[in-house]
Amino acid sequence: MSELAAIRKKMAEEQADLVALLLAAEKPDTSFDRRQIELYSNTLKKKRLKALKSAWPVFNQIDRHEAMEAYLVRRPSTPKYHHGLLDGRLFLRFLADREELGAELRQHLIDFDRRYRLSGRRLMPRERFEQHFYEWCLIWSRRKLR
Amino acid sequence: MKIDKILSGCGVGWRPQLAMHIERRSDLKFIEVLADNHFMETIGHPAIETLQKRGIKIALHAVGLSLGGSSLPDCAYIDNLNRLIDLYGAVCISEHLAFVRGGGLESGHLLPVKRDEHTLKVVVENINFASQRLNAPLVLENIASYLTWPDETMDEAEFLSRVLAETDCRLLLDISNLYTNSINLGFSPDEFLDRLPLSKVAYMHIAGGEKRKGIYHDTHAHALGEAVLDLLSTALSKGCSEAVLLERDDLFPDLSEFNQEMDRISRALSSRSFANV
Repeated sequence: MSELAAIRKKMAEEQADLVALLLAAEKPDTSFDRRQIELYSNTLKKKRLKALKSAWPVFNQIDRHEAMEAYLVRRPSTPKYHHGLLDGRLFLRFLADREELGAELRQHLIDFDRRYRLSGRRLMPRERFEQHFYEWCLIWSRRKLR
Repeated sequence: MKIDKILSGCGVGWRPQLAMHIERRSDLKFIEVLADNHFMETIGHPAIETLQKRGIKIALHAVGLSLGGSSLPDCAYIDNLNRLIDLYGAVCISEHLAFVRGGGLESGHLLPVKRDEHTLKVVVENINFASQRLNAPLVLENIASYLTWPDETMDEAEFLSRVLAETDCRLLLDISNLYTNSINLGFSPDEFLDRLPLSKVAYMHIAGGEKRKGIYHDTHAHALGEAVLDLLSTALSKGCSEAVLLERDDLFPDLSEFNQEMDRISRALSSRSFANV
């Protein structure tokens, strides 16, 4: 292993430890300043929820605070692309899994899925014909939205 | 490609919520488009293209390259940036000297690198890797952070200077981030500026913030404070680039407040220009 590869390997471990520490609900002992870690951790959480609510204003009206907290524990990693937008979609799926979606959010989910599809880790807008196709599938299959 | 003097005057970070205010601002010289918000676009945003037709220059701004990360920058992400650079004819692309992911987890935020010789080598290689593949000059931005790594061997000014010396990149000096760090970590921003190669500053960011529970937060949601504007004037007087961009990401102002903010930047730039006469 080259010198730089060895440095990268060590760096990867250190950065992974820091990210895990910041995203963990319970903070283990660390050589970092504990207050700094707590502050940064809160900032990450607030920023993520703000981005989610900004992309999905419906969550400003419908209080799902407790479910959001559970969602962050279940899925500590922010989506790589389209942070708030995709995060909101994943949160809806989380609610659907818990059977806590409700009629209004279910409609938001349908509207969103009609307009976008997931390609790899990126959202892609659906073409108009795809939107119609999605609607037909929805009507005919009456599938459970996931 | 060099970007000397490509950017000058007043700029603003383009956000859809500010589009109408930006459209009405006649002295605007450049805007910054936040790449990550435009990845789904296959054609240019009409409001941005209208500005482009007026001769307003476009800089692209990214948050996901993770130049301070342990891995080389993601080529798929670079391809996405290149698509937007070409779509908007961006004159440069700026990114933060930070990392955003580790161990398969995305933090969703800019995290400071551990400032030591080892990290420097990796960061320089990452930057060169990205620079060689991007279709526009890469500009590096200093971040705001109240988190410091244990066992660091360099401070931020030294690390930034070393990175700029060992790459062809120029600096996007975020005045508010510098102010934030100086308050939270307790150092002199003046001395910090004296230790940077200010001739390498391509343009500057400025934004409002507020102090909460003893910590200053660079919120991008408040009006510009006097102290931050004073620091901008200091940077200009020391020879930094005369291109300054307002960042506003929340609690969007009405037209009158927006114009006041832009006028304050414009006055700081004018004072500098008069001082040069």
